[in-house]
Amino acid sequence: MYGTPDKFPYVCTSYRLTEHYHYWTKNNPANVQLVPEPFIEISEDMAKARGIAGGDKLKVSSARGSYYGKAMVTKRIKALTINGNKVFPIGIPIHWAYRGIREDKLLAEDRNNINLRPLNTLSPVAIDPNAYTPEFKGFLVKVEKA
Amino acid sequence: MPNENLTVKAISGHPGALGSGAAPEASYEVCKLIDTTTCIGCKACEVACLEWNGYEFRETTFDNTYQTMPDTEWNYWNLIRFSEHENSDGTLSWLMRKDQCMHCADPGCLEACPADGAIVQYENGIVDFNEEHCIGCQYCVTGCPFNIPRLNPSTKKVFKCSLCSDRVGAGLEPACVKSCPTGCLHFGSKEDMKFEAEKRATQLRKNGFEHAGVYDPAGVGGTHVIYVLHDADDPEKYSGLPANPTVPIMVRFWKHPLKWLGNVAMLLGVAGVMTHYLRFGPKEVDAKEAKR
Repeated sequence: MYGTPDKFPYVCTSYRLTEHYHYWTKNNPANVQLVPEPFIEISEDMAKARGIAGGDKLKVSSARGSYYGKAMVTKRIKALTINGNKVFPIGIPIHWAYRGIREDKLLAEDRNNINLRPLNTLSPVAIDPNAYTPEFKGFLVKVEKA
Repeated sequence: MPNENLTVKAISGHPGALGSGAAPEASYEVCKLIDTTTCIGCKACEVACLEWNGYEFRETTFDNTYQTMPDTEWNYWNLIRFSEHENSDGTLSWLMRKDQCMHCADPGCLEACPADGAIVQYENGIVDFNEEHCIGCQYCVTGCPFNIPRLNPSTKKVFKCSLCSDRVGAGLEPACVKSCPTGCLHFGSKEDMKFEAEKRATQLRKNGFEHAGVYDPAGVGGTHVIYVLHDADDPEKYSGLPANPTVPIMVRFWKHPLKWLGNVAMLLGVAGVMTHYLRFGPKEVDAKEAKR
């Protein structure tokens, strides 16, 4: 259920943006204008190592599911050293899933390559046994060009 | 809160005096303070600007950045510009700067504009474009040291941020200030905003931002939109905020000495023609030419 680093070498985390609220605001043209598409933030090191340029379409998969988005190459995410190994973390905002203004438009053109699944299809069902708080913030994934 | 005083201070291309109509009440200058150190880049101000000014939302595309669009447009006056700046000590600053008209005390656009009444500067410091008088020559674009005015290609009129002069005239703050969730935008008199800005800069300097300071460039006589920057020594790193903005020297030359020289040259020309007439009389049509 969690995957292993040999198959899923990257550490993924998820977060929110100031411009969107959960999955609702994909239906508000104001918010869609500010941040129109799902994206995947990767470090410059990783972009260089994998030959990924900003704007490339990526498919991120875990042992549980897959997610599509465009690459955002940024200086804000840096490689980590974990147990003596260099590990590239990636970051994905959660706000895209299901249908919104942009998705409806794209669906008419091309059903493939469009992300309709929530990011949390990738994250593990790891839950605090007492508080039942899910642990969605760190999990292993692989990244391919889509 | 600001006054209901939109008394005209200067008008572009206007011959003669501005006429009477000075408001009886004491006027003071308004100012918008942008504290870049507390901006979170949520772009609520961009949306508020569009909504108040009645422009439509548009379709954008992903461009490897958090910035909405590469540049401002005639119907998009306010843009948060994002830049990832690597500091000399190896740390990273993610800088967000709200870019819009700075409402200079000495506005290059007004200086350059030849159309009577197209650009108006109010006593409270707001520089406003009146599109009904705009002739679309775009000299204001040349005159602006901040590269702000934008041409609407279909109507051939130039637009820019009005500092919500309609709201300010009714005693309200600009729409962007109203929408800001972190309170990084402030609005009030220039004096108060300068005080607040200096206070914040002092606090930042105490907290380890040694170069923190206030951006109120003297080259354009000060502005009615001022910034608090983490590093006031290098404003260029905030997506190209000019360090020493001035009205281009050619605009100054062309609107003052050259204009004067041109008038003199024209008068001399008229005088020359008259002298020639008095000396040589009217042109006679000679026989050869008459035949043809």
